[in-house]
Amino acid sequence: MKKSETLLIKKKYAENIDEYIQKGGFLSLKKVLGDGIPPEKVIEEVKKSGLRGRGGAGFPTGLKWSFIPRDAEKKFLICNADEGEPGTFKDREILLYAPYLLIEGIIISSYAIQAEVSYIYLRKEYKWIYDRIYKAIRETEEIGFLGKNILGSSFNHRIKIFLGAGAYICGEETALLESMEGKKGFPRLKPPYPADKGLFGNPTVINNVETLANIPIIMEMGGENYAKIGVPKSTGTRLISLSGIVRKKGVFEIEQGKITIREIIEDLGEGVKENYHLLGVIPGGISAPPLLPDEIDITYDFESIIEKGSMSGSGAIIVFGFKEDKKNELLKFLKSAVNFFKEESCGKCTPCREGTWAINDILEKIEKRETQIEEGVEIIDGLYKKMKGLCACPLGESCAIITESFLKKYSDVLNLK
Amino acid sequence: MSEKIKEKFKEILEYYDNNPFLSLIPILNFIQDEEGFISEERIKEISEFLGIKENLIYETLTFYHFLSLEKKDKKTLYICKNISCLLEGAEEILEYLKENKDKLNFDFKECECIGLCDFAPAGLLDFKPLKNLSIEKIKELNEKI
Repeated sequence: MKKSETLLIKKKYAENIDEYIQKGGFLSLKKVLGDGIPPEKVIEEVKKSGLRGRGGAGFPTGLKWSFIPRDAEKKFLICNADEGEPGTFKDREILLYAPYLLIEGIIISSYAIQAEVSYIYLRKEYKWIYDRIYKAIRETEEIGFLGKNILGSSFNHRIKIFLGAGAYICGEETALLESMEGKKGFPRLKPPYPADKGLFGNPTVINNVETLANIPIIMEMGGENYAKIGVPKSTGTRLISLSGIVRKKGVFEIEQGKITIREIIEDLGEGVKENYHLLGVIPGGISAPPLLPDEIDITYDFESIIEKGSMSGSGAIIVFGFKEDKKNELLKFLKSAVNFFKEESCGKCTPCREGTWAINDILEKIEKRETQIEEGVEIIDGLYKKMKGLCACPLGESCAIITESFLKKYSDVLNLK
Repeated sequence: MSEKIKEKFKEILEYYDNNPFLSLIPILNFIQDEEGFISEERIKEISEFLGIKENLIYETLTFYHFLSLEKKDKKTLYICKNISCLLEGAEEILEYLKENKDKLNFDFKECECIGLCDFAPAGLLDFKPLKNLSIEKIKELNEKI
């Protein structure tokens, strides 16, 4: 397999259902339901594949599914299409160009946990994609792959779309559940986990769009073969959202652990734009701390990036830097990132609700030269200790971590007049 | 409540398997998109229709960015001001909008990432994407609205 091309998911892009079927679409569904592969076997196969969640946390998908109690009467599967991590737009591509692959993935995954109804939670910002998905669901129903007794099996399934109303936090799985229950998007305290008490108290699996799009591919080639792609702890491919100061932006599919971040920028992004000075790279959406230009010769996979003190998160690479005379704009960017967390903090937990504002204030003071950077770092570190693990979700601590990281790594640039 | 709206409420409730709580945000979204805001009167109607207390409806709707109690005469243009858009000059566009507020046939609002970073600077109008925005494009848009 080459470093990047049309690898797995991109091969399944299809304008309409016929084209998808021509490309081998729904063969996995036929294999699973037509041959009567038991649900637990499907879970086993996904476990073997080593697939990890593509939404941000990287939790093993098969393991997540195995937590669903088998004897529960009602279960749900939710496809999380609320990607809101700044810099991320890969799920948008799947929803637009591979909706049938996603639908097939949803049906197989729902069968694996025996859910009769699934929902696609679509962020309101993607309302313009709603009709596309709705149509794809209708087409799938029309050819009999959705509805009652799919492919002559005893399995029934329906997919419904649920449009959000604008809140980053609803991408967090328990806040998403609250939102679907008609409430404000406050993350729940865990445990209980959604696998025990999810939507309206029923066992629920919530998976990201790209995660689910991988399922038909895994069933087609077998878990063991899928695990041969990539590296042991980061199997398969990933869709990277590349943006910022590169010549060519867009969604690229890469094999995990086989291409470095620098190569992604140089080969796929065709390098940094003319007259721009590379300052760094955010490797996984703005919740991921930045990497300096001399730290990007690492392969793109979960572990390598964690070792460098950041994370691959949602697979969003933001390449940042400025024209020579504009370096002093870095603080403005950091402020925009902090402002994002401040705006999107849901307000449930005090450390985050207050802490994100406090961090914002510190940046204001640094900007006015009322506070030195070292002092700022110290205060933020104190705030971080009061947030870490003490909130219902990691939003607040992410804000502290990235701010601290930026201030430490770029103190020289930030001190420029 | 007009017949048309009542029909739509029923349709939404049915689609969500007659679950009033699951139907609440979809119904709020529908009213917001249809009328540009959610009036007190509509909240009463929704409360009655779904059997959900009004205070809970307020609690929900005031949480979300795209649901509003405020009546607006003009459309709202959302402009992303997150990092990828800032790197491509979202600030200049926002400055232009602020300076020319009086001449505009629409309202504008800064928003967080809308997933169009590869088309930065980007925005949304009527929840349709506006790609690679420039001051020129804003001027053209203003003519059209």
